[in-house]
Amino acid sequence: MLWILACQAMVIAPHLLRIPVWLSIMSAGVGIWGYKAVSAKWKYPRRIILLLMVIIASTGIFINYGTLIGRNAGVALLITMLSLKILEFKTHKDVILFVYLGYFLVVTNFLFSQTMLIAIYMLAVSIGLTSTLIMLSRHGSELNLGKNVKQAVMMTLQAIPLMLVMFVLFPRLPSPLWFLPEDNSRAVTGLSDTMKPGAISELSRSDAVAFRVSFSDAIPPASQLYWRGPVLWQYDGKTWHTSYQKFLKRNMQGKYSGKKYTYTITLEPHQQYWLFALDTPSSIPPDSYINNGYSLISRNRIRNLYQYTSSSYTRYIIGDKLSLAEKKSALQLPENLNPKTGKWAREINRRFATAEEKAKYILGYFREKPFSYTLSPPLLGQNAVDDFLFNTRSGFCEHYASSFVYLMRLMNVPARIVLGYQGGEYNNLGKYMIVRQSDAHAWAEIWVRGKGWIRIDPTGAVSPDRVEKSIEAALPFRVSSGGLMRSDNPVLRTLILYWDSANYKWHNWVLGYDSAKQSSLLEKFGINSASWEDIAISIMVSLGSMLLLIALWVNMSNRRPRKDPTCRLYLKFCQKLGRIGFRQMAHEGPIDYATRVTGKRLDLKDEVDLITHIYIKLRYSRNPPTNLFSQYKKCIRKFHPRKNK
Amino acid sequence: MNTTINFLINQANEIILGKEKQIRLSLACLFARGHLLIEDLPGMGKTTLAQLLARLMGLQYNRIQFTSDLLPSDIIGAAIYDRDKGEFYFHPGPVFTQVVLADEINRATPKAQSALLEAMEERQITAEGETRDLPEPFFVIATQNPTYHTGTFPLPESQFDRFMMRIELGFPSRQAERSILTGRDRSILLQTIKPCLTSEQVLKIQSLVPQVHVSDALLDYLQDLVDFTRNDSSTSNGLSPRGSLALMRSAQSWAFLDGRDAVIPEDVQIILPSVVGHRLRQYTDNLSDTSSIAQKLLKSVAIP
Repeated sequence: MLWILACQAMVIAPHLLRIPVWLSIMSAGVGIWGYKAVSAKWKYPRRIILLLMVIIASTGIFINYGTLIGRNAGVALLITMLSLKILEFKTHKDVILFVYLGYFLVVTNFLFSQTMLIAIYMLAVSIGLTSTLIMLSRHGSELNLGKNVKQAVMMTLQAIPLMLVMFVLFPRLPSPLWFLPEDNSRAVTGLSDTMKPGAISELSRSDAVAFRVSFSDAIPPASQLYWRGPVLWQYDGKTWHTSYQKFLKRNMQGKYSGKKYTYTITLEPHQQYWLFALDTPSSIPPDSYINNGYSLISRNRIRNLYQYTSSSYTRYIIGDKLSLAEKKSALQLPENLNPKTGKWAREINRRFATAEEKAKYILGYFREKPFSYTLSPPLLGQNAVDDFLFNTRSGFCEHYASSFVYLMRLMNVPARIVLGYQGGEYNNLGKYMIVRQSDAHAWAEIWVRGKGWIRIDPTGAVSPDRVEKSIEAALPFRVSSGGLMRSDNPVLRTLILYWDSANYKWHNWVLGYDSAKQSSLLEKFGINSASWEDIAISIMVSLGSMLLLIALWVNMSNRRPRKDPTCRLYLKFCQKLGRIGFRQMAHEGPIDYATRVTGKRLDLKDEVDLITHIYIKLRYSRNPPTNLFSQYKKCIRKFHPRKNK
Repeated sequence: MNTTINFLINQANEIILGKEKQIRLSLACLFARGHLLIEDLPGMGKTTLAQLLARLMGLQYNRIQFTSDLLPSDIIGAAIYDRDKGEFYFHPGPVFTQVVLADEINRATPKAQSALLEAMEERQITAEGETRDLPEPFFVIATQNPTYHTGTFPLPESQFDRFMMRIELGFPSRQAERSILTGRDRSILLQTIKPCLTSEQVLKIQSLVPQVHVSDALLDYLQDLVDFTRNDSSTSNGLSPRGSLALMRSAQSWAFLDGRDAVIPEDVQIILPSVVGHRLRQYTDNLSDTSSIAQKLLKSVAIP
């Protein structure tokens, strides 16, 4: 009974955070009641009370979620039923039903999370449930728990080949059959499509993985690792927005040169539409577009892990022709703000003729004046840019990018902000790059006639380390929230990389195994156009051959049961005699055998009799002397019968 | 103890010539607290063997000659009216003894045969509403003629199962027969023979037999044999647990007679035909058939 309750707890545990508190308490209470009913002969509640409990719980769930259908409410309802079933344990049938419900609840976990950890945990839980079933079929003695669990593990292991076949061959649909109802409550981590001061520095505290990249061949240098995300055009004095965007035609109007990098990105769900690409993408993955900010936009919201392949050039000319509308949005400014900055901008404008010179001057200003790079900048007032440039002079990348673009626009240079990530950590074990939320970055682009949009990263002027190395190097003090992920301990670091690498493979091969991968895998086995019939046949063939193998194995292991050392040595002895023409019959006892042999070969009598005698002693008598075995071993080793001439 | 037993066997060998294996088997059966059924043609020395065993073990014995008109009360005993005292009192029948020689048991009707049933299994008799214990040790040594002979009632299966062993004597060898022909009359010889054991000693031996060690390896072999009888199609029904227990006990007993403290596969093999033959008998009632079943069993099951 305790074991069943443990199973219940294990099944419910991963759901705990998702179900209302009262439901957890109720489950625990019911569990205790059920236990007492068995151990202390408490009474099971009457049917009517059970019914009442069901109604109350269902009402509670309805109040909590506003529905009884749907993922969360459905799971909560299932948990209620599972728990209440404990109070109905009268026959075996009830317990079996309980276990099956448990299996079902285990599966529901995958509606929430599909990570490797959850999968492993679920496997453990189903082993537990299986052992409950085994226990039931053995008419429940809980004493043999270890044995039951062992058998459950064995059964699960035996199921693995079956699972693999089903996994590999089961038909995949190109798109999911159904969409899970969306949950607004899900926390969104990642870049948003607006930039407020402090937004990115907030993000930088998170170690969550933004995406993983594997390059098909070369890896660009760290200073070129700008992962382009959304482009921000509109500024209201405080916040930047993406308001203006126009989709470009599929044949893009960029001019590319230099090395082409091809890479595959596995993007963690961020609930937005854009995709990230190395600055700047030259090809568009399927089901997505590119806009005039050269950001990739997916057709669908990224709700699940999303994988795409793209290629980029780090030397490029993009947007060399600026449309009027673009120019207008690239020069848009809020009015009547930041008077000091305005004055200073006019000054610079007088001194320098070209946009590039002006930019260079401003970057120089950032470098020379005591600007500092910090995660916790002081708050800025109404005239944010004024405050930043002349008073506080400390900020994060968004401050630098924002004030730089502001200044450039004041000087009539079209400019915009690009959000994205900069850098990434290379995982040598899995040969891929991890880009975390802490790598979030904002930089600027200015438009120069004839050269198109040029990337300028004002943060680099203040803190070159940020671009060259990573955020850790750039910050004057360690970020406490980084904790585990940024540990300096090399062992821990390696472990973390191992873990991430395993996770990546999991994503790539288990979760990312779709119809395309399936058909390419099947092609390797010579199945080109995988029709339903072909797949059905291959499932049958592989299952059939597997069963055949199992049957053979069972047969073999039946024929040759495991023997103890005494027996093995005796068989060796028999083999030696067999070589000289005395094969032991399967049904022949040791003494009969010895008599038969010695009857024909008197010369062997002493040895054969001795060995047979010791063998009988070792194998059949009570408490044979311990030193006998070594003597026995020696005798058999020394025994070398020769054929009679 | 062993020298006594060996002496006993030698003595028996002098009376029943050339049948050492059968004598040993019978002793093994009796020492394992089993009842013995001797089956063969008339005149093969069945009764002599039975009498001989009883005498040599120093046990008190009664002989019941089974006939077709034998009644249960002839075996168990009956209540008889005592005219002097004016009441009934139980007059114990010939079964109240240590060794019962049930001669030609299959000549009696099933009703009389089954009177022996309770005695054999429970070692007690219920008559006139009262249960009486039989003396210890208690053996039934029954002889029977092959069932195809006229005037026989085949033993019910339930009764077959109660005999631990069924042995056949078979024709004597030429040499042995010569000695029988030239030697003294067996019945006179039988009278001269002296008991080698006392009933206390027999009880002691009976308590020692179950202590003979049976290793796991041997139990595996035993169970393989039993499983084979239960799964093979050539036997109409498998060995009962009583059958497998009989197999083990008689193997222990045989090992004991050999002076060993542990059972080896050969012990099982040698007693097996006598133990399982009559239990697995099919309705053909062919003597050679039963032994062939046992041989098949031995040949088919490998010693683990």
